[in-house]
Amino acid sequence: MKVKVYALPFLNGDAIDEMGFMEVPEGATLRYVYKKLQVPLLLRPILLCSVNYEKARMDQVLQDGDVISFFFPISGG
Amino acid sequence: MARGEVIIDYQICMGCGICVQACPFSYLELSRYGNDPYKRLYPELEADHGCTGCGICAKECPLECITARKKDEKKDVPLS
Amino acid sequence: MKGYTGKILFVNLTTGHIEERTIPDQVYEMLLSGVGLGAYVLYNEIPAGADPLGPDNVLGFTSGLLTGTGSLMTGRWMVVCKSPLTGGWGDANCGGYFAPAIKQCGYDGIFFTGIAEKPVYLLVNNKGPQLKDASHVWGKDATESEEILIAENTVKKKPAVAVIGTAGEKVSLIAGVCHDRGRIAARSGVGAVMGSKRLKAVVLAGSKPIKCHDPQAVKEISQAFAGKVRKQNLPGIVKGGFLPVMGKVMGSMKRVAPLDGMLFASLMKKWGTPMSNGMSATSGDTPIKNWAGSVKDYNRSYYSKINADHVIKREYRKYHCYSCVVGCGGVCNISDIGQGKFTHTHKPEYETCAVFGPLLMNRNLESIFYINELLNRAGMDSISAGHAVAFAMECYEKGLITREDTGGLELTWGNAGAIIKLVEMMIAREGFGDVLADGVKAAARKLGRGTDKYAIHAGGQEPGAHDSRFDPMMGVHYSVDPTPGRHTIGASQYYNMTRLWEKVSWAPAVKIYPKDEEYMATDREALKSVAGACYKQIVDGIGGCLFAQITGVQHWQAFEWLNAATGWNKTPDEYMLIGKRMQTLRQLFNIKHGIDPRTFKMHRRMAGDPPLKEGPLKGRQVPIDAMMKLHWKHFGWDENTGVPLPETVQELGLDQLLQKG
Repeated sequence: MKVKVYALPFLNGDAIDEMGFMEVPEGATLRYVYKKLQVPLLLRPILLCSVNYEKARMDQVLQDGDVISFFFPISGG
Repeated sequence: MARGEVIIDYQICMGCGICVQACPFSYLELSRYGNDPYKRLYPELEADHGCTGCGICAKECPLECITARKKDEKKDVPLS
Repeated sequence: MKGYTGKILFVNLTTGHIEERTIPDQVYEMLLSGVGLGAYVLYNEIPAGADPLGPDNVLGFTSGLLTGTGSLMTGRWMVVCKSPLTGGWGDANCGGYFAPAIKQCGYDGIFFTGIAEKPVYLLVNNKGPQLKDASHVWGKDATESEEILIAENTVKKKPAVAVIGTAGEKVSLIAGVCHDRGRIAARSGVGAVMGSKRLKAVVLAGSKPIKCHDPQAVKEISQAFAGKVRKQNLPGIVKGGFLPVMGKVMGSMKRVAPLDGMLFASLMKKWGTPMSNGMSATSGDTPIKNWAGSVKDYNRSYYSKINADHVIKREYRKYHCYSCVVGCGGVCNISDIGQGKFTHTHKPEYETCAVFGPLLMNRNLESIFYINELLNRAGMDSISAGHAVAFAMECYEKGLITREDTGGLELTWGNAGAIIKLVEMMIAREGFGDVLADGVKAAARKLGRGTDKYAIHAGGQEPGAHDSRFDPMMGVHYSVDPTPGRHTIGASQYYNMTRLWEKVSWAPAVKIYPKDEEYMATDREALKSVAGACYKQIVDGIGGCLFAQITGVQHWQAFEWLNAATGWNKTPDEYMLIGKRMQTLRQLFNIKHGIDPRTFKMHRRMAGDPPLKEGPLKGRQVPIDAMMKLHWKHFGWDENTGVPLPETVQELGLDQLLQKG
């Protein structure tokens, strides 16, 4: 099944396709995505991540079409 | 004494102000603080309003969280 | 019923004649409303060679095609004219609640030609339009005038007002059009045109319903968008102090990722655009010391003083535009500043904070609040005013002007007291203020002495506070847009978050990429800048907000809303063709009025020529000439001159829409 992943620039984006989707097995958790992205262990506690714009736990089981976004601000106007 | 009233579900309302601009008599105003931490203002009928329960505000609300009615009839004005 | 009204109002201020005109459906289907409708009317109405401050210029106020249809974040209105600042196409964009008011009068746009003999204002209500005497408010600031005009003209509905301040009355070329005591359509010198016509205000109190094709379908899309925005709330641990740290990290990163723009809404809700005050100062996004400095100059002891938390400390309520569910604006208490001359002001936007802060090496936040209110009341563009002061400061530093020129003012970097005094003089057109009141290009021309080296602009328009050496695509748009110097057209940052490639077949898809790619003149980068420009026209045709646009097409579904409101059933690619047509028409306006697009290229300093020696942008250079060529080429315009090719004009069907000559 596919989940949408908005990764950060210093993570590994190899598993994400051009439209931003990552193929994950049924029953995969958020931890699986973190592993694929190679999120550094030291950063994990302070990195803000949401699933469908809600706070999520690492053992949360993902559904097809879920949106995983990492918090990082950009500039305004 | 106003013949109508407007009931807004503030759990859904996000204060976009479409209803305020829709009212032909400007009876609604953004004057009510809500439960959010941002000090955003939400719509409510102003003091001394002459609301007739015409339902234009309810019709225009994109989040469909307004009920308008004429007080005597105690009947909701349909949205369309 | 397709979301637009199909009618415009056309007012001749010389004769007093007012008429309604019907606009054919075909025009909306080819150019949308907003800026597209404005370009259609102005191209046909303004004769080549017209003096922008003369009677032949046409000044228009347009709403968006989606305004008032139940869509969200589509409450923007535009002022269009021939710009006295650049000599070409001019437009300015603003929020508040004026946009729906235009349509509630039964029009998509209201246009003015001629010059009134005495100051007038236009009142439109359900009875119709009438020109009224404005001599009792001529000479008053925009805020005071608006309050008076609302009080005089409230019968049933509270009017929406667009009004000029004294800067517009004095025909300052950097004057804008104000609304709701703190919003402003600021760029292109639109306020000068309004002042030259002796048109003080437009007062709208209509209440006609706005109809569209499928209101229920529109609402469903709105509900989905609103539901996502509702969830965007920053966790408590994220404080303002983090922002400069994040900026520093962003500025040092060698790779870029397209982020989820919906998360942006949480920052806007909490802080609004001042969230960038600290962040952009450290990342390299903010130009510092008239574009000649870096964060090594404007260091922590400076930027910490203007950080977002300090700004919102004064905020006692949020402010938002019609149909917005984010609400990035605010109103702030300033009764303790400047001996309490003003009680409150709209929260100063990042642009104002940046051009009166880092651009001038000023760290006095109170002075920025005070200047914000001065400019809002006078109706003067803060971006241009800040750049004019920066220009003067650099000339003063280099000894090209002295205290004799400035009337005794010590224009040293960061001298807040002198900055305030100078702004007051610019507003009043007094002494040295009169030299600066028409922007940096005119100031350099008036002064001579080689000062043009320090006049930072593109085609006469001072640029927004976004460094093109940080985001080269921003520099491309500064240089190629028919309104040069605009920071709201496109940039790599905007393109990445808008995610056009999810819906538009020819928009290049973006994954994680090396930052260095943004500095290369390639066909791929050009396709991105072209796609960004086309989409921006669509956003301006529907009355959309830039901050909604950059949440992304997957969230803020402009194409789907358009189909629901009009019933047209077009694909995103077909809408992008409309955007391309709108942009080409804006460029054709420039060509008709004798603009050589090459002369709009941004100042060399903005391209890193010479490059900065310190800071996150050290050594960065933008190959702007090559990038301009590629952008024009992919638009179907002559890559050497920027003139739209005849075959492109024909393909887009523009030759049929436009009158010759």
